[in-house]
Order: sequence, then C-alpha cells, then structure tokens
Amino acid sequence: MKTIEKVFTPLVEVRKSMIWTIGSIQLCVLLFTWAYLVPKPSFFPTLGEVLRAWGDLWNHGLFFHILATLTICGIATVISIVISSAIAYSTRIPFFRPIGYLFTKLRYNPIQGFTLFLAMTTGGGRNLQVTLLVIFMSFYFISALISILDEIPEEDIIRRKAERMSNWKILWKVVIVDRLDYLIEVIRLNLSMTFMMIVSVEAMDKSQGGLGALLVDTNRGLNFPKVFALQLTILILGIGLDEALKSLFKSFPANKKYE
Amino acid sequence: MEEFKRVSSLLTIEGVSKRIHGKLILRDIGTKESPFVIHDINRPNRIQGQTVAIVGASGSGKSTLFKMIAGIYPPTTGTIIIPDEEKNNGSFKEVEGGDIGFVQQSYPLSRNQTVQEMLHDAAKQGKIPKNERQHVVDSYLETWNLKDQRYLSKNQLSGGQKQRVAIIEQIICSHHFMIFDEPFSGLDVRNIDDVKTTFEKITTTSDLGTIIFSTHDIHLAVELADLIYVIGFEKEKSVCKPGGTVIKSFDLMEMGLAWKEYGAPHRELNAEIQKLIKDS
Repeated sequence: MKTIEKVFTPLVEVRKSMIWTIGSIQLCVLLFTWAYLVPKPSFFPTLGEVLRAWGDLWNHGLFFHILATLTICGIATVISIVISSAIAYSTRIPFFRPIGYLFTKLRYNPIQGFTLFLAMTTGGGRNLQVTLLVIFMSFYFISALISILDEIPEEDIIRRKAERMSNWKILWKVVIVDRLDYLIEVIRLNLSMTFMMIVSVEAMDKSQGGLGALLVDTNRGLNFPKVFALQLTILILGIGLDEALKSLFKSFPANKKYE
Repeated sequence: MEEFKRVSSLLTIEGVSKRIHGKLILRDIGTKESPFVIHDINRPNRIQGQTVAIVGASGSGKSTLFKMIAGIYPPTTGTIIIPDEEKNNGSFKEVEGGDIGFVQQSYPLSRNQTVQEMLHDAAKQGKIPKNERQHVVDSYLETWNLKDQRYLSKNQLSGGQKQRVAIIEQIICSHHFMIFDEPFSGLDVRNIDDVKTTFEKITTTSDLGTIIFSTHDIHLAVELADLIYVIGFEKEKSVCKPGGTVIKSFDLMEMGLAWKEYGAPHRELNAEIQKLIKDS
C-alpha cells in the first residue's frame, strides 16, 4: 500500500516518524492560518499580537504566577493522592469497602454548594484553594483508583497465596506496589480536570496570584491577546506535566516494551 | 509390569465438597469407595516421583479442586491432608497456602518486578536463608535457561519464558509438590515439550517430587500420568447430579502402563476416558 493511501486508511500501522511529520505539517498550517489568514479587524487576535502579549505578561511577573499555580497544584495533588490512595486501598478491607464506594458517588455532588462553608472553615486564601482542589480531585482519584483495583485478576492474588504470603503482604505487593504505575496514570488522566478547576479556584482569592487570577483579571479588561497568551501558557504547562507523567509511567517495568 | 512400591501418603483427600455462593461445585471427592490418595512411590534404583492427571469436561470443578489442594480455598466439607514437613515426625496436617506449589493456567507474574526480583521474593517466601538466595536464584536461572532474562519484566518475556518463571517461583517456594492447571493449554509443540521436560525434572530429582496436572488432552494425560482421575457429573436416571466428582480413576502403575512408551493399551485407555467424559 502506498504511503499516501496508508495515512488515509483506518486501522493501518504507520511509522512513528510519519506521524511526527504529519503532526508538524498540521501545526505549521495552523500557525500559518493564524498568522496570515485571520481577517482584520476581528476580536480574534493574531499570532503576533499573542506573542507580544505573552512577552508583556512575562515582563510583568508571569513566571511568579506560573510558580504560584504549579505550587498550589502540586500541594493539592500530593494531599489528594495520599487521601485518595488510603481510601481506595482500604476498600480491599471489607469493613472499609462501603465508605470507599460512597466516596466514588460523591463526585456527582457539585462542590460550589460548599464553598461558603469551606471558606469559613478554612479561613479562605491559600487554604481554601487547596481544600477545594483536594476535594474536587479526590473524588475522581478515588473512583479511578477503585475501578483499577476492582480489575486485579484473582490469579495474581492466588499466585501470592501459593507463595505463602499473608493477606497484608499481598495487599502491599499485589495491590499497591504492583500497580503503582496505574496511580501515576490516574494522576495524569485527571490532571486536565485539575487544570480546568484551578482557574475557578484561583479566581476566588486573587491575592494569592496564579494563572487563574491573572486570566480572570485579563478577561475582564477584554484584552484578548493576553487572554490567548495565558490560555496557551496553561495549555503548554498542562502538556508538559502530562508528558512528564507519561515518561514516569513508562519508566515502570510493567510498561517496558518487549525486546 | 514395572516394579514399584507405595510408601507413605503424600496427599489424602477425604470427603471433600465445595459450595461457592450456594452452588455445589464439587462433592464427595475421596470416599471409601473411591479414595483419592497420592503416595510416595519407590522404584528400585531409580528416583521416581509421581505424576497425577485430572481430566474432565469444562465446568466440572477441576480448577476449584486444584485451588483447594493448593490450600487457597478451604473445602466446605472434608479435609485435605499432607505430611507435616516442619515437624518431620510422620505426622500429618491440613494443607495451607504455600504447602503445594500452584502454577496457574495464565502464568500470572508481577507487573512491576524483574525476573530476578520475583525469584528473590519466592526464595524469601520459601524460607531460604538470605545469604543463599542469590545462589539459589542464579542456579535456577542457569538451569532453566533464563540467565539473559534476569533483568527483564513480565512484558518483555515470551510466553514460554513467563511459563518457566511462574514454574520456578513455585518450585523455589514449595520445593517438590506442584499443581499445574492446564499447563498444555494454548501451547505450541515446542512449549509442550518444555512442559514435559519440566515434569520430568520435578519427578526425577526427588522421590517426593509430585505433580498433579489437569488437561483436556487425554493423549497427554495417558502418556504422562501414573494415576488419572476423571472428574464429571454422576447421572441418576439420566439426570446429572449437581457438583462434579471423581467418576473413575485409573492406576496406570497397577495397569502396567506407567513409565512406558505410548502404545496400543494407552490408546485403548485414551478412548475409554474420552467416552467417560462425553457420557458424564
């Protein structure tokens, strides 16, 4: 089959380099369209305007806003993972199973109803932001982790029982250590939702800074080049984190390819 | 007939039945009329362990029986008794997880460990002293032709290599008594030969070396086993009774068919077992 024919045929394997080439061409076309084909005057900013706006933002402390966003995101993720893992892993113990499954259902509960209560409880500011993110993320982490644990094949447990392992040791070896890479994958898959949430959370208390606070302020001034520049910054940060977590996931023995 | 002597019992199943979620899966395994006992066999001037085959239709409860023999599932009624090796005074005990190696059909292995790490775990569980573990692991890797795969993970192993790692793990842990659940299922000719060689290794390195395996390939069961148990459903007025049970057993040692080239008498036995399974 010819290469051109191949790339337009479903379920056909093509070389990785070919996918990169196609992707690069598509990106160039997109940038070219943006740079030269956006009609003027228009609300849609040109590529040049966005780049200039980005430079302006950088000169006015964008780096520190990025740092603030990454810090709050990092703290919330770590706390959320610790809490979620403890709850999800505890569902392997019959006594804790109902409470674990109850948490998975709580993701249907909109968090907005609790913001005032949480603001009063946490005292607002950074604490409120972290608490909201932790609650929001945890419901999804718990659901995703429990569904992974539910899929553990019985054979894996039997194998370890046949090796004289105690049930606690099997919990550690099979449920936790042997599926640690899935934990990374759960974080990665839920990161996009965290990033969507972070804008709203940071906007609640703008004194803490962060990309969300900056975006809301910029939006209010109808400065679309800056809004686009901030959106792109958040997108690039997200992609960067996504790729870093993907590399970490792939570094586990379970995800090494056949040699 | 080859000369042999039955010494002590290595495994005795007495009146075992198993219900899972209220459904009777197995019943009356090991009765006075149909005993289920595996003995230590002595052959003059030879190291000879025993190979036992369990055959029967799908869904007759073979895998459940294996899980009970391996001490993973407790029987609902009855007992499964093995010699108490820790006491070493001729006493017996009920089987527990880890007393008998259990190689499952899917050859499950750890996802996030290398071959060497998995075997170290097995050595630790097999109570091999810490300073001897590396030597034990090395010698198994050498003997089973896995030296070059020691740093690879499950995903990087071929089907045959996974199978060997799963077998070694259980041998290191449980030493000489092994259960194989359908070890020939889905294997190519070369891998079938590998499993046969494995069986031979286990049963000819120790008098106590014992293998219980299940298979749907009756030819292989007749070729390899010294004792065959056929599991199926008894019929009463042409209606199947619930729960699989031993419908017949064949002692190939008594019949003079064990340890011999596959020939006409083996073929006859093969046909008889196939008919039994079809009719049950």
